[in-house]
Amino acid sequence: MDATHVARALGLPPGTRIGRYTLVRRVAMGGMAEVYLAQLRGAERFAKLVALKLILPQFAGDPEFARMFLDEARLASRLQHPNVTAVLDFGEYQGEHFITMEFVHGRHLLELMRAHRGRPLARDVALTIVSGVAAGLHHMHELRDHDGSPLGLVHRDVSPSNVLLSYEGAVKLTDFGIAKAVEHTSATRTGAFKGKVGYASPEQCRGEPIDRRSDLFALGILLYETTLGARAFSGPNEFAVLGRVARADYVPPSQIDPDYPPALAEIVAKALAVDPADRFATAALLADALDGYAHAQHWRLAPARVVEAMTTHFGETPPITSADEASWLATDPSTRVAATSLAGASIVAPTPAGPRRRLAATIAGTLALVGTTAVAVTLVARPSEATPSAAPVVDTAPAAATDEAPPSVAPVLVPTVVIAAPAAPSTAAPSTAAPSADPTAAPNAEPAVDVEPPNKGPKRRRPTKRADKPAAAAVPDNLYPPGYRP
Amino acid sequence: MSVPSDNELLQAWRGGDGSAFEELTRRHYVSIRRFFDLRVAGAADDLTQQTFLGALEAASRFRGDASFRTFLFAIAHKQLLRSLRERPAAIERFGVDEAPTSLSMIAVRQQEHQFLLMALTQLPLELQLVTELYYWENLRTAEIGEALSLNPSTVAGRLARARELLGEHLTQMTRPGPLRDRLLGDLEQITRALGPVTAGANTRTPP
Ligand SMILES: Nc1ncnc2c1ncn2[C@@H]1O[C@H](COP(=O)(O)OP(=O)(O)OP(=O)(O)O)[C@@H](O)[C@H]1O
Ligand SMILES: [Mg+2]
Repeated sequence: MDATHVARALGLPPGTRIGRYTLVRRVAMGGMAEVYLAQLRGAERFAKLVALKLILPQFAGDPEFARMFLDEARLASRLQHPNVTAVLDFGEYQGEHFITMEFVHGRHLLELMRAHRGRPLARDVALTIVSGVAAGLHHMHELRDHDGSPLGLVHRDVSPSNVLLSYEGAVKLTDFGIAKAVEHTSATRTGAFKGKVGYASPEQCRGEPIDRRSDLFALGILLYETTLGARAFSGPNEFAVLGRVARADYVPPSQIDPDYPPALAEIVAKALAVDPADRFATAALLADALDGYAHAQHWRLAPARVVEAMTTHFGETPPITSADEASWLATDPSTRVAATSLAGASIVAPTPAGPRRRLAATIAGTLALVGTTAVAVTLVARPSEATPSAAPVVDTAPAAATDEAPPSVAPVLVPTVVIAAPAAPSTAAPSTAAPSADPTAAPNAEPAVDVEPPNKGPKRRRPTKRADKPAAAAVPDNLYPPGYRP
Repeated sequence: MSVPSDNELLQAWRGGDGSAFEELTRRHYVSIRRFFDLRVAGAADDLTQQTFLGALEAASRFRGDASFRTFLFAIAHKQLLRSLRERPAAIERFGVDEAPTSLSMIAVRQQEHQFLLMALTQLPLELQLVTELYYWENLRTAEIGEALSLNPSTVAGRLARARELLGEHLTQMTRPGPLRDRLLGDLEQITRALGPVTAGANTRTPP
C-alpha cells in the first residue's frame, strides 16, 4: 500500500460542507491536492457547480506552503482567459486551504493521449489543443501587476495532465501557481528543479534561473507528444529522463513517423532548442507558427474537432451529476440531515480536519520507515501513475532446503526472493475499518439528530427522509482506515 | 565466529544446506536489483528473480575460479541484454508501453550526485556497466571482463572513455562554478560515493 492508496481512502464524503461549498464527489486526486465537484449555494436557491481543490493535509501543515499557495491563488485569480481555468475563490476550512475554480466537465489531455494507444492525435486536433494552451500560457506570461510592471510568471508544470479538455471542446490550462508554490515546500525542496521530469526544460535541469521560455520548451514537448503519440523524453529512471532533457536529446519526429511534415518538425525543433534564446520568444509566437501551418493545410483549428475526438474516445458526454446527485443537490440544504443515502454512498457530516491530519502524519511516518521511494512516487511520479515496483523484501521464512536441480528449484528460491509489497501496515484492512462496535464512533457531527432510529418519523425541524440505519454502519468498509474516528 | 565467504556458503549449499543459498541471495540482492532497476525499472523484480534462479541452476557447475559476484553479474548481464532486446526502442508510446521510472530525484539528495547520475545515465550502456561495476561493485577490471565477456584491456579502455564522456556531459549540464569544479575535480571520488546512495534507492535492504 502506498501513500496514494491510503490518501484515496480518506477522501471527504459527499455532503461535507466546506465554507459555502457542499462537496458532491471527488473527481481526482493529485500529488498535492484532491479535486472535488462541489456546489456553491447562495441565497434564493442560487447554486453553482465548481471544482474545489483541497490541499492535502500533509501540505496544509506547512505554513510557508500555505502562504505561497495563497499568494499564487491571488495571482491566478487575476487570470482571465478562455484557455485558462478561472480561479473563483480561495478559502480555509478548519486549517485546510482550498481554491475553487470553474468546473471543467471533460478529461485531461493525458487521458485523451492514452486513449489513442500510442497513435498520434489527429493533427488538427493536436494543433488546436497546443495552440490553445499556448494562448492561455501567453496570457499568464504577460500578466502585469496593478502598477503595470510585468510579473514574470512561469507556469513550470505545463504537462498533459494539466491541460483540461471539456466535452464541448474547450482547452484549458490549469494548475497555475501551484507549481510555483510547491517549490517552497520542504517535501520537494531538494533537487535541481520542480515539476514533472518528462516536462522539464534543459535550464531547469541545470538548476539555472528560468523564465517563460522554459514553459515554451514544455509546449514543444506537448506538440511533439500529441502529434507523435510518444513521449519526447523518457527513460528507465528519473535521472535518465532529466539527462536527456538537459541535452534536448529526443528521437527526431521523422524517425517515429516517416511522413511527419518537415514544417511541423521545424516548429518542434525550435520549441525544443537547448538554448532558450533559440526558442520561440513567446507562446504567442509559437501559437502563430501553428496557426500558420494549419492555415497552409487549409485547416480551421476549432473546438468541433476536439469534441469529435472526445466523443470518439470517451463516448457520449456523461451528465455532470448523476440523477441521484442531481435530486440530492436540488434539496434545500437547511432541510437536509447529515446522514442520507446518496448514490450508494453515505453522506456524513463535515469531517473535522484534525484526524485526517493526524492520520496523514502517521502515514508519512510509516513511509519514512519503508523507504523514501514510496514518498517520492506520490510527489514526483510521472503522470503514468504507474507505481514503481513495490519495495522488495526478502522473505525470511525458512524454505524447505533442497539441493536438487531445476524442477524442484523454483519452490525453494521463489519464496527467497519474493518481491513483496512494502511492509506498511494494512491501513485499509476492511475488517478493522468498521467502527460499528463503538457507538461513539458514528461519523456524525450532529448526533442529536442522526442517532435517532429511522422508524421514529421525521422531526419537525428536519422533514427530510433520514438514513435508515446508523451512519457508522453505513460507512463503506474501505472509506476509513482503522483507528480513524471521524 | 567469522562471516562465511561466498565460496564457503556455496560449499555449504552443495552439502545440502538450503539456507546457505538464501544467505547468498540476501547478500547480493541489492547489487543485482540495482543493476536492473536503473535500466529496466518495470522488469527489475522479475529479472532479479531470474538471475538468482539462474545462479541456483548453474551453481553446481560453478567452479569457484571466479568470484561468486562476478558469476552473478555475468548471469544478470545476459538477462539484461535479453530484456533490452525484447523491449528495444527509446520510444515510449502513450497508453501502450508506458513503464514506471525508478530512482527519483527525492531519493538522491546531493546535487553533485544528481548531476552525476544525469550524466552517467547518458553514457552508452557498455560504458555505464563498466563504470558501475568498477566504482559501485568494486569489481576489478579482470572480474568485470569475466562478467561482461570482455578482455581486461577493453574494460580499462572503456573505463577511461566513460570518465572522459562523463566530464563532457557534466560540462554541458552544469553552469560554470563551484559545483562543476567539484564534479570535474573529484569525479572518481564522487562516482564512488554515489554507489551507496543508489544501492537500495528503489528497494529496501533485506533484513
Ligand atoms: N477545474 C477543474 N475541473 C475539473 N477537473 C479538474 C479541475 N482541476 C483539476 N481537475 C482534475 O483533477 C486532476 C488533478 O488535478 P491537479 O492538477 O490538482 O492534480 P496534480 O496534483 O497537479 O496532478 P498532476 O501532477 O497530474 O497535474 C486533474 O488532472 C483533473 O482531472
Ligand atoms: Mg495538475
